[in-house]
Amino acid sequence: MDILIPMQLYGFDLIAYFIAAITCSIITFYSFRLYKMSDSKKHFRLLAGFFALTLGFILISAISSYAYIVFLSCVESCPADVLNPVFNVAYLGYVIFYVILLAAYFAFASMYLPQKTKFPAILLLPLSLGMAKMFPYFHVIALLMLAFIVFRNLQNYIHRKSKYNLFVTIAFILLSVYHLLLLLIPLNENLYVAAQLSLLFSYLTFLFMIYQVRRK
Amino acid sequence: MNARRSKARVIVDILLAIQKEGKAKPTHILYKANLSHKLLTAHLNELLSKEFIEKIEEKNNVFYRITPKGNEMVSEFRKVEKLASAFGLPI
Repeated sequence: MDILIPMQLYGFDLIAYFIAAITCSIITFYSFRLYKMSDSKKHFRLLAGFFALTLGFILISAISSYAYIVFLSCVESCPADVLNPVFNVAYLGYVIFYVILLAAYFAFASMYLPQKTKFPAILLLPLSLGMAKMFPYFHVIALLMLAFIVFRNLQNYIHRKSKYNLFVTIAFILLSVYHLLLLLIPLNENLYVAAQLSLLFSYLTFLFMIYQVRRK
Repeated sequence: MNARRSKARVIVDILLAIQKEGKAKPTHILYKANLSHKLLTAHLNELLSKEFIEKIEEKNNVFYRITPKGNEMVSEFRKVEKLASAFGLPI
């Protein structure tokens, strides 16, 4: 992985991951209540998507914390090869995280497909494993799925004019921006920070939406 | 075009019909919830067993009244309905 994060911003992404994990766990909880009441496949996909995202963000928060703690405690006194195993763990963590993200986006995208559409989802596993190892391709695939999700949510918003729908649309747009900026990191390393800010605001928007929904 | 109602929606329609009246006769619920007699009987029995409604008999007439548990169910439905609607999903 060749992402170069500006040194003074090390650890910044942890805030976004941590907030995303909390938000996803809250939405998972309410999606479960929705699914329990309706027993609908579409609601199950919403639940499965946010549950996967919760696991993914918990995993990446834990691995990033570990990597940063070892790195910051060691950076001035350890030889470089001491850090290699830590970076290998972080790399593996990101591969698993990206596979989970793809699975979650696939679950969300499939919510908007016609009920009778058949898709052999199991084929996605080897495919996503391959893509997750090649980060730029992963971001392109994630962007394509998110573009479809944003398009369907925009359609819903135009049709219903619901503020909750608007929050969800904005959140998915910000997620798309996150992947787009990560794709453009080779142009400017500071884009990593902008990407993490986009991720942070995306999940804050989801959090605000769920707060509005649960308000009496 | 009217989409087919989910079971949760039908149950909430029945509860809302009863809630609006305070206590409601089966014929009134039948009319308000737009159900056949057979389906209504099945749903009312289920709601009684789950203690969402209670049966009252007054002057040879049968009425149904919503319980606090039934009111909670309606309130919960409205919240999850908003969540589903936020993602553009019907319930």
